[in-house]
Amino acid sequence: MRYQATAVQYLKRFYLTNSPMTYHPKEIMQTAVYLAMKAEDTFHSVRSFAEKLDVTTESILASEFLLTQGLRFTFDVRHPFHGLEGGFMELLAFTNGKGEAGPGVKKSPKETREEMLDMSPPPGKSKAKDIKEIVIRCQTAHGKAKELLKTSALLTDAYFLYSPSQLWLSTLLIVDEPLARFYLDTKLPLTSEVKPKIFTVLRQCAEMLRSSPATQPDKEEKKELKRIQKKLEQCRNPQKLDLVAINRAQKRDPDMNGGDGLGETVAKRRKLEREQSMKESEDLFGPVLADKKG
Amino acid sequence: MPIADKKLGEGTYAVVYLGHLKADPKRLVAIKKMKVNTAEWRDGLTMDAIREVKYLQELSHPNIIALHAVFSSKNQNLNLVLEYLPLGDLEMLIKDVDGIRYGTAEVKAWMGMLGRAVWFCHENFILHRDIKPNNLFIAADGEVKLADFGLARSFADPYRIMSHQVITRWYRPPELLLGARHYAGTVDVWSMGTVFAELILRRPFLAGQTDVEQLELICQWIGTPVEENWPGVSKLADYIRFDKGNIQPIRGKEFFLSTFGTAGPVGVDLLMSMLALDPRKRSTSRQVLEHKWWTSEPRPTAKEHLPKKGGGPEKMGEDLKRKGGEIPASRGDSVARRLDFSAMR
Ligand SMILES: Nc1ncnc2c1ncn2[C@@H]1O[C@H](COP(=O)(O)OP(=O)(O)O)[C@@H](O)[C@H]1O
Repeated sequence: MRYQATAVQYLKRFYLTNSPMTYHPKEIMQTAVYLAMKAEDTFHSVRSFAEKLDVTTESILASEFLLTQGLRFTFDVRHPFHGLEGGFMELLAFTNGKGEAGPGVKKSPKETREEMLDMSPPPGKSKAKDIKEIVIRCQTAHGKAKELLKTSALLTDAYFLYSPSQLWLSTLLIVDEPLARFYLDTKLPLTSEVKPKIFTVLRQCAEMLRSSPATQPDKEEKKELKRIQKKLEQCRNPQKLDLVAINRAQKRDPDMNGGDGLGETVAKRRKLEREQSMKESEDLFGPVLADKKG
Repeated sequence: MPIADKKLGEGTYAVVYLGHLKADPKRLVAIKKMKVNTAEWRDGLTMDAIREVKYLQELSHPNIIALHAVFSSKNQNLNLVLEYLPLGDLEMLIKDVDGIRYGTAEVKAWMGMLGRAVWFCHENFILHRDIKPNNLFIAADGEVKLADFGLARSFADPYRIMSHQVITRWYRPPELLLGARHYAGTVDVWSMGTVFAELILRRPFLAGQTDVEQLELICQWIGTPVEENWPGVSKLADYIRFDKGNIQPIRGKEFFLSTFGTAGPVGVDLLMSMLALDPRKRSTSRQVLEHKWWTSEPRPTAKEHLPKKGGGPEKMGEDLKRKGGEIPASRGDSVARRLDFSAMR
């Protein structure tokens, strides 16, 4: 689903400039999904959304603005999914003898189709006997590439470094290199100077995708996750533990949010935090324990 | 950093202020302060605000309102710093029948700017879904700017359904009135066609008071949608079986020429292609720009010679004073926002 991919990118963008020690990923994650649903036209009321997750609506909304600021108000995420679908449709058109080669490529639709039949098979497979087998090969590659886009492309930093078309083409390169080569050779003339450059970038991108962590962590990784989680609990910023309470206070006293300048300035935030900790140190028994319900 | 000066107007989901840059007081901007959690909305940031920011941030085009910056302020409000467009909107020009005269060359200039804006949106996979004269603002130099992206969305993934409750009724295409959940850029092209017609007539072309009446007007003025002229139409969710004896065949060129003759035969041809009932037969926004009307006589008026409301930049100060109180009352947007068109005007 598109909004899920968007939510993952929101999280990644948010933590470019924020620390998980300040804002717990668990809380930000819920809000990221909710905001991504709105941004991708999959709106559900906050009530029904919170009910599904069994949390309060306030816990979802409390960090919405924080997240929005962390994203520098850029809601648009360019995904590689449409590009992959388009490329797949083109490949199918080539098998039908209906696909037009790219500008400057001197291949008739018939020649293109024959070239597909002639393509070297994927490793471990024998050469295709007829065009039906090529169609199946395209479908298989499409399915595998899509899976990679839904996992590795999201879990690595690939979205930050590569364009949507580079992303989907490099997944094609991973799952069926001869097919990817055929595709690019049909879209770009042999003499094209950019082709070697494109391949260099695609290879770098593919390498990054291959390095992706698994979507389902194994036993060892789970253990490691638990350890990190425990450690995180100990080193969290105590002032940002209860986002719901902070949000409430901000709504009551808008000036806490730092005037109407361009975002909350660091200086103002520091001052605020100083005042807060001074107030708390006056309290004989230390700061109030955070309400962890949210 | 922008400083807010005075209020320009107020909509359902936003208050708009005039502002200037601190570093350069002569540079004016409009600051649109989005409201949060109104009576009807308890879901955090509104869809309007998210859409407007999402799409305007990506689009940079001379005929689309520029979003200079976004900032947050007290009360967790989103503030949009927009290009300041002092000369009102196209609706004001159309309505001011006594004060403003214009002809085909002017209509061509305005439609050309609208056409380029819509094409640019579609080229970037964005549907505007609320094109109408009062969302077409006019800059100090006469340039038309498409604004209000509160209902915009990206082209859907294949098979994903979309809401048909979009676009202000008078500008809404027949497929949406009939409940289509899959549609394309051609919905905006229909709206463009109705704006074109309105510019010529100087009154809204198809001004239905209810959705049913809107559909009736379309049948009467364009033709009754039936399987023969629009294959598949009877399968749309809200399709009505029209009375056999009451079917209006699609209006021919003669009919359009008699009503919109001032646009000339080539202009009428373009208008008809924008108002084709079957969205598959309707022009795409690219085809609109490729039409030969743009290169045939008369040439479009240069933007600096287009008629303006309020006599141009010199009178701007006075104009603004009036505008603040005057415009919100005359705008129908607030109604469209709630997607309930029943109370419109
Ligand atoms: N960029 C701008 N330049 C000048 N005036 C503007 C601008 N944007 C909005 N306005 C004024 O503020 C009013 C309210 O705008 P908006 O909130 O966009 O309306 P709505 O919610 O009804 O669509 C408009 O009627 C218009 O007169």
